[in-house]
Amino acid sequence: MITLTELQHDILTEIINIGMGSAAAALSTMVKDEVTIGVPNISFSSVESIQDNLIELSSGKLAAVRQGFNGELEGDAMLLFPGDKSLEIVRLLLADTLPIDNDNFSDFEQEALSEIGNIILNAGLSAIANTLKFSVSSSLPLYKQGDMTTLLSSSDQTQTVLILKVELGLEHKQIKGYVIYLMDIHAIDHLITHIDRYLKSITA
Amino acid sequence: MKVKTVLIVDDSRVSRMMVSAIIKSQYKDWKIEEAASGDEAVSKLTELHPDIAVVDFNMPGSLDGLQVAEKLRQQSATTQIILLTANIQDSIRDKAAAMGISFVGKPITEEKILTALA
Repeated sequence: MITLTELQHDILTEIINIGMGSAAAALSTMVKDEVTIGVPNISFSSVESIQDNLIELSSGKLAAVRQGFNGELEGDAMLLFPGDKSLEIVRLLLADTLPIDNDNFSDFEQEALSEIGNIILNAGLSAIANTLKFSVSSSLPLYKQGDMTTLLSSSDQTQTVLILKVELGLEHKQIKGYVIYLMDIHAIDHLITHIDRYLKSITA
Repeated sequence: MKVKTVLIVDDSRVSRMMVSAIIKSQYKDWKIEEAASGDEAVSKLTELHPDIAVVDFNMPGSLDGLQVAEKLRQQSATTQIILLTANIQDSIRDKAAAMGISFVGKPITEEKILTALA
């Protein structure tokens, strides 16, 4: 069983907050609406019981952008929106910039959401990497639709993962999205090492 | 003002369209060329001598945005290169600065693009 000390938990929460502040600022710029940030939720789970930790997302179709990251920290980041809201987000992103008919927004749904995911997930990850002073590479964003079971089907069901979940809300559009980071045991060890090093640097 | 040729290199079609629309809104006569990967951009360089290149960092294929920037530099020392990326880590920003190229973090806004072009 993996546990974080109170201080490690506190620092990780703060770093995720910094990352999500950056991600929320990016989303806010794109959709031109205030974005609220929920309190980060940190938990450990096996992949097979992950839905117990993501109960808000356990029913219905989701639009997801998944992006792997590797280097000094490895794992997967996911941006999730309710499937029925994804087209509205695309409309918000493109409406003022590109002359696209309302009927044609769906043509851009996948590409636009991939790019939104790319920007938000990288903003969050970059802020974390900058704070802890390491560098990571990210893979290209992958867009997928389905329920949580489908979206996590490529993951090893028995592995323990760290779930960092944050809710991003569009203040005036009644849309909630979630950013989730998934890391296996090996990556969690690395992350704890980085946190301890950061803790030393700020208390020295 | 001299008509310039701009090469936009980004695997995201939406991003290419947004950058192109912003440039066209301000510089109607400028010629815009696009490439969806670093490899495609480099293959176009023999026929295309862009005055300005707006290059994404993370792209499919064998070349990332900084490697494309290096190829552009080898071809012409005067091409203005703008790295436009969602990867806003200090490490990438520092590498861009070391190469003397502009760094613009996504999301794309009119203000960011036009400021970088000015």
